Amino acid sequence: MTSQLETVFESIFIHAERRPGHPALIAGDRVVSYRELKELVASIAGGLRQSGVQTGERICVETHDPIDHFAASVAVMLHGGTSVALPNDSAESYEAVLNDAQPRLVITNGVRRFEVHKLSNARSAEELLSVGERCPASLRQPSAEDIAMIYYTSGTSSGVRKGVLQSYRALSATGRYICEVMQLDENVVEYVASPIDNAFWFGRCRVLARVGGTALLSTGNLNPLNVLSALRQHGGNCIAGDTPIFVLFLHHMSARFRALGPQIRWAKVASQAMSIEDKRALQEHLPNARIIMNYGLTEAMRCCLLPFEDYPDKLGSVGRPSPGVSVRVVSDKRQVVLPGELGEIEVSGDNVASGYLNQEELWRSRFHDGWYATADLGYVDGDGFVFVLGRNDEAINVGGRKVAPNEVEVQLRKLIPGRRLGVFAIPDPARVLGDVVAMAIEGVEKPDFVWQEFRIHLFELMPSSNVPREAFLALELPMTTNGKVKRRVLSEMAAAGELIKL
Amino acid sequence: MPLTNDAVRELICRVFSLPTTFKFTPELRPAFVPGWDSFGWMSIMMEIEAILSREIPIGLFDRVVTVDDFCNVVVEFSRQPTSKSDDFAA
Repeated sequence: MTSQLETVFESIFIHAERRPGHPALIAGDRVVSYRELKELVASIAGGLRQSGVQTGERICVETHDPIDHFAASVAVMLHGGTSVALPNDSAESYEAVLNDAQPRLVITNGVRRFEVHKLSNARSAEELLSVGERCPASLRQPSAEDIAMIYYTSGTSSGVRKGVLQSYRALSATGRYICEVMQLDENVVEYVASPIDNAFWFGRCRVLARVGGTALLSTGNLNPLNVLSALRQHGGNCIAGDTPIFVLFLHHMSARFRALGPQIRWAKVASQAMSIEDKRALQEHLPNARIIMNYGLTEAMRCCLLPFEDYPDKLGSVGRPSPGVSVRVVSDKRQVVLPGELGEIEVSGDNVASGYLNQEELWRSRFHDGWYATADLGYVDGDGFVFVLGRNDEAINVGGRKVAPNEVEVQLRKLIPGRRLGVFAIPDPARVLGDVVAMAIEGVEKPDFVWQEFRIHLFELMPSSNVPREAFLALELPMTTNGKVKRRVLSEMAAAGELIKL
Repeated sequence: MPLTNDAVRELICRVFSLPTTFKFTPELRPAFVPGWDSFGWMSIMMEIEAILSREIPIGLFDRVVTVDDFCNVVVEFSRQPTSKSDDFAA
């Protein structure tokens, strides 16, 4: 009998009884059935117990083998610890997470990307298996508010990685409603096209375990060609990944993706923005698929869900709030605004995390009266659909009107194709509006228009507050590693006279 | 024209803007090369397709673990006659 609070280890144990030989995880040549996964998880948990790890202690997991990574993370939870995924993007963030999490143990194996001299407490998965006991007689039943996992944010906007505390309540609630809305069943064979250290990756694996499906996992970094190859080889019928992987399929591998399309029954697109054109193209490439896009943050997972087929007229939105989740938009004074009005998106519900590790004050500044302030800028329309326009802290305040730079960029890119550009704030030269919008185009070559004439044309296409007051050329646009424009740096460059005025 | 291992390494350096002094060790994995993420895979595959004037077949990189594996697979692929390409869309 499944409890209301279904844990990932409970899901695995249930399916190890129901369909023991069914493949749970496939990575390269390695196939692990539910029975084998249960044994692997239980043995690693046993190894942790024999190593003296106490309930509630933090254990970092850093393995390049995706099956071991998943099994070790689940084993930590089964043992009663808190699992922490180590980031894989830079030595700096890797060390920062180790320093912040202060784990009792690091479970590792294979090749380590970074040489960090703080891993005297590292134990390999094999080592834990060699001392591990067999399955415990009974499953542990955690309380809803126990912390199961910690995932670190990328720190793109704040510059600081934050360890987000995920409770069993949040994991269980999101897993339950994702399965319901996606209408997943035990026949799902899904390629999880996401980096192993990403919360989305683990989220998909635990959702698949919940329904007794099969996860196809990448053994290295994500190669789009290998994704299609694995789906073909294993009869895959579901793809889950971030927007960029779908954009790669649509724009660079369209024929190969389309050929595979009819066998796909489900697709799950993670929360990064996708254009309406790409959403329609995705539907066309995957004619038999139920495609779901979600909006969420590490701090408030899967706030909204958008099943494309159910709401063809709302593809520009991120959907409606998920079951049990409430979303509202507030002004700078934290007053709820009217439908259609821009403001900061706030979220409340079981999906909201329990806090930041070691940063209680920061959490209190973002979470009050049961609402988590996302720092995302958006609005809710009259039908209850949520539209996200960008980061609230990136919004340009033009005389009290908030302008979402992403939105302006999308329009400008259509008019200036083939050139990379960024929108940012500059002080109003007339000193009336505070800040105004400016645009920088990358490169030294002037565009084939007269800026002042072009600008006049823009007034016909967008609200006047959105029209750039000035335009510049930038030899190279400052970008983050995630490919986002560093707007503050552009503002500084403009102020320092480092941009060429058009 | 068939590619050599050195030519593929040079290509990797060019695509990912690596210094000429970049060290290719036998155990080096694509994930450890700066910039070689899923977009990096796309970039380098498109470069290879442009150089060889052929579409890379699905499955070619299935068994690639290290950069050395990648170089060997690309060299071998460049030596195959065009007809051996089993493009999925074909």
